[in-house]
Amino acid sequence: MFHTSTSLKNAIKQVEQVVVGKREAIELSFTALLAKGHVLLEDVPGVGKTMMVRAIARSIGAEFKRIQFTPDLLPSDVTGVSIYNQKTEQFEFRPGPVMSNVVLADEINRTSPKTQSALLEALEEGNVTIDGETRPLQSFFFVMATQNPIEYGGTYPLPEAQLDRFLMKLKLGYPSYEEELEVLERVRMNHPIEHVEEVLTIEEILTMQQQVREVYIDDSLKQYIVDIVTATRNHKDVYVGVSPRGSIALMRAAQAHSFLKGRDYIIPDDVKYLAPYVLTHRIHLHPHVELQDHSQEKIIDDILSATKVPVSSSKMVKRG
Amino acid sequence: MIERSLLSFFTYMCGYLLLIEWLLPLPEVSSTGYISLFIAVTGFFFLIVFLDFPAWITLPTIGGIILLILHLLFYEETFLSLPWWQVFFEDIFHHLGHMITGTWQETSHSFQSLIFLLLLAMMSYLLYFWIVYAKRILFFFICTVIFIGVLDTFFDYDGSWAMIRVTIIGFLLLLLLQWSRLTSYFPVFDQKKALTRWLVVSVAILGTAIFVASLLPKSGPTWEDPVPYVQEFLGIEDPHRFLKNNEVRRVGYGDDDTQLGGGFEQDDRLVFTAVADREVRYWRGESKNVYTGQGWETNTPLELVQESNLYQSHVEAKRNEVDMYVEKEMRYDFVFYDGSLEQFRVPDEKAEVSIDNYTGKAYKHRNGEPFIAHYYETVSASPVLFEEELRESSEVDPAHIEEYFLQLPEHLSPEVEALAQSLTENEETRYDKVRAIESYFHSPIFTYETENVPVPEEDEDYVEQFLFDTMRGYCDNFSTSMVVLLRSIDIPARWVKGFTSGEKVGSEEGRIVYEVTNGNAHSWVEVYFPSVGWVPFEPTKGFSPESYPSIETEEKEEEEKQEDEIEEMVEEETEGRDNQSSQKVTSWVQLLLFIMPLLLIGILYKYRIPIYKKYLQYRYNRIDDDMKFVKAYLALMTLFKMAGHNRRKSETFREFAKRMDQEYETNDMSLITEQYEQIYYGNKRPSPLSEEIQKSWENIIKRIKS
Repeated sequence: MFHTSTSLKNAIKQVEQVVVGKREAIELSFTALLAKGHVLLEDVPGVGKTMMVRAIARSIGAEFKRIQFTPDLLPSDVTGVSIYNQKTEQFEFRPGPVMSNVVLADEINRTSPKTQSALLEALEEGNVTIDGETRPLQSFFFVMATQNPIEYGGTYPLPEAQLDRFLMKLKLGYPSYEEELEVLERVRMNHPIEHVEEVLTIEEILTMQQQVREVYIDDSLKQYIVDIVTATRNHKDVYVGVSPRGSIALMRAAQAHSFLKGRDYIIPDDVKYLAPYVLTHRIHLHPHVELQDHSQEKIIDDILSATKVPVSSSKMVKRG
Repeated sequence: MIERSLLSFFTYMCGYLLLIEWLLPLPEVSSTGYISLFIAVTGFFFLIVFLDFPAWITLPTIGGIILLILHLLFYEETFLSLPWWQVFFEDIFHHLGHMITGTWQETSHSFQSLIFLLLLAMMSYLLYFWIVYAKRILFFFICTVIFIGVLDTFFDYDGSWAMIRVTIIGFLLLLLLQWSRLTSYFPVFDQKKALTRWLVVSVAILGTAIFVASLLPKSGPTWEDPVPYVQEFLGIEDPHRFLKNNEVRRVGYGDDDTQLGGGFEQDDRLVFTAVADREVRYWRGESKNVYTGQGWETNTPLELVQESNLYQSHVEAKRNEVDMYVEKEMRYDFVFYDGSLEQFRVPDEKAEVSIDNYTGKAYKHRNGEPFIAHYYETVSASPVLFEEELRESSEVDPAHIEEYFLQLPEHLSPEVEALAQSLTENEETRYDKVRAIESYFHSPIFTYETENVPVPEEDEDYVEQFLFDTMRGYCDNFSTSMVVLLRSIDIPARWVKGFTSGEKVGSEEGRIVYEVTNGNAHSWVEVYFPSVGWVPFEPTKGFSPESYPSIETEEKEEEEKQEDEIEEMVEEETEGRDNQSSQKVTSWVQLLLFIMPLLLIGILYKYRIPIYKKYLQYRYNRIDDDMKFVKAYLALMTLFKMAGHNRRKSETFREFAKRMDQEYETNDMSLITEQYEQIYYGNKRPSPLSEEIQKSWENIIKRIKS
């Protein structure tokens, strides 16, 4: 356990060399990765999304593919295609980028819903269906999709049901003034991505993903998760609350986060810390509320500061 | 930094007990009343001082309590109303002058109480400084021991138990303060254990010492009564001389009246207590007959008789039996009596009196030697006189009366006689003339005053100065002047000195108990009526001339009845007032009893954090298993809550711990919180717990602000 967390920290350090001052986002990305989840990055272009994903892939020695989603992108451009080889007179499968370990799906909201759903199927099912044939994906598969903020023109917003497929939604945001100076300094000679070392292997990651599932969660914290999720469903401004899939996601994320922090049990802080990233894209507000500048983030914050944290129970004291 | 702990509270309360030992004897050696009230108030002061509120709370509270007490004891006006403040400030400014000039006896009870209360408040601060801050008490302890010793030796105060109490409290204080001084120099790890040992050993030594001391035989006192010994040592053999030295500027009964005048100091020392069958008007000492222009002398021949003959034998009289208890330090070899002295008796002694026929001074003697008795019984005759009888009295005086009682100084101004004539021109009988002159002195042109009374110059006549110049004075001025006026119109009169009846302090089996102090020393006038004898008159302003019970009008029966009724009413009234004030005090004691528990609760509440800390330190001095740790951790959370650090219910322990660590600049809280999380959320049972956990836990307990 100790060893694992050290190598994880090393990996995070490697990525941090490339993306300045985004430790939190990097850690969260690794959390999602360990929880076998995928990340939706919602941000303006040019803040280092691609670099971060590439660095993560590199640090764990994973194969990296990037798909630039455009309005004319076809599903087969994502999943791969069977083409007829005239020499062998057989259909040969050309795997698409999604058959890679780490996939960056750039500007996912700029393509047609048809193509989007091809990717999303891959996210949820862990396999793709091409020409009626189901093909498994890589055993280690991690997608980071980026999305321009909704109000940009020429986009196809992701369907609500499909947003649910991402474990968490992150924002990178602009670096601070000093961080940006640091960015300039780092890229002056050559790009730091070239220096990222491979500190983990895919096999190790797979083992860790397995270990994450073993992280203990106390019943009181399960209740805490359900309390939070239920609160989103009962909130007056919320049109559709978090689904049970969201509860599972929150627990998985918390497990991974505990693991990342070197613990084999979840503490409420994990849940509380992750809830905004895991839950905000899973709730949908009443249209009139959305107009009043009530963001999902604020509602999740409100719910967290109103939900009682389990800190002690009589059973504990009796147990001794 | 003063650590206000239970220990300092306890030691400070011991200091309070020591101070109480100074207050307890006061009623016995002085006229201080309401001592329990003062003790209770002092207790309040101590608590208020100890609670260490900011000065803007402490000082007004103490001031308010002082004003309230003064109000309860002395003032009739509505508390803190405008007239109340007027009376209060008048009182203060009037008596501040007395205080500055050192004429303490002149100040009123309310002012003395104010000063006393201020003194007590200051003492509570001083003791706070000594005990809680400086942690030293030896000086005050020694002072207390000396104080009790002196009281026990020179006064009627039995200080044996007080001395034992003081010794126990004092030594306990010494050893506790020594302990807290030592621990502040050398930190002790296991405070509780060490203190217990310290206490046990010291208390054992102290207890043994006291126990053995109480068992051991003690030699009798070296001095039976140290007062005569001290007198002898100082070369003061004649007790009278000792007395005279004392009385130079004090009111009281003295021998020398050759130079009258000048102000005097009040003196409330008790002279004697008398238990009498009947109302008493005066306690007669002696009379003097020669007026020198400056004062009084005696030139009558010494003619000793067994019974005083103030009145003719046919005058109706009522017997008055009196038991006299004369104070130890009052050494008179003659008797004070009411009316005309008939019998004198000292139990178990062959003592007698010889009465000077002219002055009425009754010398006590035993076996031919002057005798100072501190207890004796007298029987005297209070004459019942009727105005008509006095009016009808013959006005032909015997020769020896004319010889001795019409004397006037040669240089006396004719104005005196002119005044006397003008006052009496419309009166026919001697009695009416005397009454006219007596009432002249009660007219508004005269002022009763004890200060600023000048001593006449050598060539100035005492009476003329008073009658025509100053018109201010006290009994000597009034009585001497009246005698001179009477003599100037050939009425035989003499100057009498003694005491007024004094203060009626109660009754004992139907008899009246009088307390007579030096302040009751008085002089008055006796006028000779040939068919009656020497009849007293009262010229001094402020002393009622009418209330003399022995001069009655014809319709005496009815009047007596009325008088009785009035007397009853008066008595009831005074009784009522007494009741009222005592009720006031009782209700205050009740209120104090009611407030004390509240105050105690208040103190417990105020010190709940240190108390709870001590409890936690005691309860969890070894956190050796995880369940004990959980309890200790949750108790710590309670302590934080008490100290005002509230955890929001949506706040995790980790967030809270981080906040507290920032507040107290540690990371102990985060450390032990992690341990807690491991047990609670991780479902683990780490054992043994690391020592760091215990250390961190104790460190936080120490740091949490009280």
